[in-house]
Amino acid sequence: MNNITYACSNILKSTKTVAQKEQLAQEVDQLTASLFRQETNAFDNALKSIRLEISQIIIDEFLNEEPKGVNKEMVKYFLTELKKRLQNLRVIKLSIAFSPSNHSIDRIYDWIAKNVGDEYILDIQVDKSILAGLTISLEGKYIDLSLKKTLDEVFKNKRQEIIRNF
Amino acid sequence: MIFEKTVFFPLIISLITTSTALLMLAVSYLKMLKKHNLLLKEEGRLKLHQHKKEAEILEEARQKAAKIIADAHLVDDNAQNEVQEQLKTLSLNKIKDFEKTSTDLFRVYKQELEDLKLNTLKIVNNITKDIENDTIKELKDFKEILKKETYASQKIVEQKIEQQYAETEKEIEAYKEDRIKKVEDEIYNILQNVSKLVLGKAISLQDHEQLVIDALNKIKEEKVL
Repeated sequence: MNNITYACSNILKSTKTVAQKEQLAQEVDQLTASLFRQETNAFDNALKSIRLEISQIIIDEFLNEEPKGVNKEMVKYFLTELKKRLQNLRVIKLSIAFSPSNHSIDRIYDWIAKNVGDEYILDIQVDKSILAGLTISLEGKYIDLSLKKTLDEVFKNKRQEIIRNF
Repeated sequence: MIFEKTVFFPLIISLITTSTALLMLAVSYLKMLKKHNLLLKEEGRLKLHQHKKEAEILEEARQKAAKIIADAHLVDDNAQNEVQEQLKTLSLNKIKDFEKTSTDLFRVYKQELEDLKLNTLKIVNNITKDIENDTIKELKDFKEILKKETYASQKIVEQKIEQQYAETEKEIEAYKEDRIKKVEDEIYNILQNVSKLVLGKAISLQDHEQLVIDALNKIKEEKVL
């Protein structure tokens, strides 16, 4: 049971965005479906078709301990649990002005996990009109910390000064 | 040229008065001329009558003399001469009397004519003077009315011009303010867009990342989430 929790946590740690969540959900579905197939290597083949980092965690946690083969019931339970936890993940919507690299996503995710909670995943939209910074939508709250907003406020508050200096 | 009613009617009345006075003058002059002609005719008639009377008296005197001569064929030459002389004297006296009477009559007629002429001239002068005075007064009144009307019209036009000017000035001011505001808006938008363009392009990926993290830290500080 501890193995299942640990494996779930490990896999979920690598799921930082909505896209990754969807991909993982598909992979879980694939694996679950393979458990019900009659073919002997159906599950192995399914493991090969998903991302390596995910399949590796599953192999490390379940297959290494079962030299005689896959304990289908345990894996099924694991996949069900994983799917359940995946569905419970909460989405935090972010708009940023640049196309984020993996490094950028990691930095943002780490900050969210540390300061808000690790049950969140990121739904990142690229919106160049905000210039820099970000906007956040979370559970009905909307926070605008974009450079565009700052600039608009500056222009709004110092309109006369700007016009005069111009 | 368009006259105001207040100007037109006095002018018409003035013209009618002047025309009437002139007509009266003309009629009066014609009457006097006619009277003058009648007097001249009368004078001629009287002269003719006088000559006729003289001739008749002379003829009568001559016939009487001839009769006396005929009746007194027996009178001697001296007496005859004396009679002749007396007749001659009588004739001369009569002629002198007639001449005097004629001269007196002529003088009287001449005097009458002179007086008539003077009176006529006086009347004509008076009438002319009256017409002149009336006309001057009418013209003065007309001028005064025209002046007042012109002044009033000028005042109205001035007021209208001032009103129009004020309105136009107001409109220009509003238009100017509107244009300035539009220009300011355009400048503002241009500045804003340029700033955005420049800033958007000037920020590197690392700076972007850092700005996002800074923003997140700000959220944490303000405890918004």
